[in-house]
Amino acid sequence: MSKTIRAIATALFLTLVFSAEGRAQQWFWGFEYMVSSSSGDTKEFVNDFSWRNFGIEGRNLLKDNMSLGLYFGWNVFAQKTDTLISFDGQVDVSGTQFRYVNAFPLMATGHYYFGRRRGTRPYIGAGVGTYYAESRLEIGTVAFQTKSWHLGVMPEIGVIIPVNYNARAMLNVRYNYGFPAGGTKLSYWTFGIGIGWM
Amino acid sequence: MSTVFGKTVRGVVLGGAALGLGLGAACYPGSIEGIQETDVIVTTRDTTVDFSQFLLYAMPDSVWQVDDTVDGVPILSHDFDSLMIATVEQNLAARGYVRVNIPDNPPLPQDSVPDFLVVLSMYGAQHTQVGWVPGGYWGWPGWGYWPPYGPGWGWGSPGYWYTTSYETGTVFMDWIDPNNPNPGVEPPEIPIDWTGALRGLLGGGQATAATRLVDGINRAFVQSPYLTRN
Repeated sequence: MSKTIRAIATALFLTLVFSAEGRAQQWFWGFEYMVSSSSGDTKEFVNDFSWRNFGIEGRNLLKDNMSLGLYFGWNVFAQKTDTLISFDGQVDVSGTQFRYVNAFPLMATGHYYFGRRRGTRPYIGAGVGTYYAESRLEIGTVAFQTKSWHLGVMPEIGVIIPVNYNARAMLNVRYNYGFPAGGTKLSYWTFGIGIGWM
Repeated sequence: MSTVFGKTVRGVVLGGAALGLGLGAACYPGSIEGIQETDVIVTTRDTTVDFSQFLLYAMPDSVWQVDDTVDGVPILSHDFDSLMIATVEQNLAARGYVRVNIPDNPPLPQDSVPDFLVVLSMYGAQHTQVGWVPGGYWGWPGWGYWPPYGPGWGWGSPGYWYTTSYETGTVFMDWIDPNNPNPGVEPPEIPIDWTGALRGLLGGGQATAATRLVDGINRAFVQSPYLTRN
């Protein structure tokens, strides 16, 4: 797995280096606040509509309508529940539980833009990279925690709206999917609003 | 542009760092709202046992205590024995099981030989290995009806969870089948078909203990629907 992570980190680094080298592209930097909703396997473990999410990204505008970049996020899901935990129909455990998933996506991104360069620009895009996730279950006075790295994809749609010459407002929706690792998959949606500079 | 770019990057980095620090506290949000939220009920069973085949059971009138003192000072009491035993009896009666009394001297009337035994015990110290019934339990006169059971016999626990750690004040309810010892095991084993563990329920003080014990025992039965004659 460590080789995979190194390969991804190298790919991300090269994406930035080569996309910037020798060209006079413009960088776009964005900072986002998000709400998110767990889905799929993630929702089975922690069912939460979360208010604790943020992201930061940089996009290198290769052409008027295309960019490559990097995205880093932090998504926190939490749930308090008394759901019965059953193991093989033999052992059952009940009690107040606190369940958490902290997910950290690190993605190489690509976006395609519609509209005029200085105007309102809807876009579609996707991220490819990795998710680092910590899943934690607290019950009674004990806690169980697992850490996992997932290869992942992150399709996205959004719109960038000019505020003034340099500032932009950002709205986006992303689906986050982490392929199986450590016995689990990651799956959740984020709905972001942010501010960007170019 | 480079100046604007530099300010932008600094702004983003500082803003991200500040928000990151703020969100650090939100990494694991939520907290317990009372001692009862630390209570954990664990039940385990032998999945090969058909619990509808049992009818009569016997249960001692007191709760066995293990490690009940620290430096000679009692840390456990028998204040809740009657409450716990009555609550267990109510739950078993609701499932169709009938409690019989064990007379002080043999023989037992043929129609009142228990199909199973229920023993309650509590632990005054933290344990990392249970899976057995306290040695003092051999002093219960009822064992006189199942010769040659006694010290030296083992207990066949129903689950792998016995190797976990149990906190001070854990209460155990064991369902024992004395009529069907596990064959071919040395030392000989008396099977424990079901166990309910009320983890840490005797901690947190006397004020809430009674309510938490009753609630814990009831929950153990609720999450064990297979314990029924029906």
